[in-house]
Amino acid sequence: MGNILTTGFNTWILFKALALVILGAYLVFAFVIIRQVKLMVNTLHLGFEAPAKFLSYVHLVFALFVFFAALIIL
Amino acid sequence: MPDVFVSPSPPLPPVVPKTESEKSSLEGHTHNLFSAFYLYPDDIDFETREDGEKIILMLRRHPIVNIKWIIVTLLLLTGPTIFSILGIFSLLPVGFSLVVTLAWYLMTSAYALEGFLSWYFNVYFVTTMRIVDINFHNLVNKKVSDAEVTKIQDVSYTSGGFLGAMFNFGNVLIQTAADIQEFKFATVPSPDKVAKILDDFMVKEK
Repeated sequence: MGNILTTGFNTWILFKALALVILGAYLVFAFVIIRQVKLMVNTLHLGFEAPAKFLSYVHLVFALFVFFAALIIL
Repeated sequence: MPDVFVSPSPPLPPVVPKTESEKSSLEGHTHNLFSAFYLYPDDIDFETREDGEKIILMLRRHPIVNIKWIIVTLLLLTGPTIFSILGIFSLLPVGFSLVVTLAWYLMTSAYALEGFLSWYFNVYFVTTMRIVDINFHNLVNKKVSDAEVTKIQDVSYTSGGFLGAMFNFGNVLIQTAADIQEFKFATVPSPDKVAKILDDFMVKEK
């Protein structure tokens, strides 16, 4: 019975899967940040609501970009 | 003849200022979005403010506390360059080094965003009715604590350490007869002034 090395299994596939799982979990975290910012701006009106929301969405877009980059590049 | 004692001017005017010109003459009244000390702030509000309740003071931690996350962020930004110099990226396939770099910057941006939001949105209010502590901790929890001004029993402040003395910030401790017996306005600017404002306010209410 061949092991992973002798069967020519590419171990980087495992790393790719792991990277995608981690970045997928990170996407959930990015959504949590958006929820957190919504909670903050609903609680307090300090004059920085729009930029705070904008930053949280930019972060989500960046997270999506990295996830899809990993999906395509790796 | 020189004055032996000059009474300090009271931090609060005898009546609540209504016009902008009255407010702007007060030290601490500002429209700066990133200030940590707002006396009679305009255009600032919070969810649980009641009708007729006016904000006298809004505080957040002194901006110098941000130095920690700013320095850590700057160090993190150099991470991929250091990995490259050390040759760590040369051990990885080409695509992996790019994704690792992007992911590293992504997490750095999240760290910086959290640092800023945590500073900006954790605030304290002194209103004509209450003191309010609005605290967001971890990612989705918020804690709003308040106590009526009439229940304040004692106000004290501490200001110490090299940075505290240099930048004039410290903790204001407020003992109350409310459910929450002690409030702590942590690392706020001009703690002496905040304590004086609260003291004056207690005297007026009693």
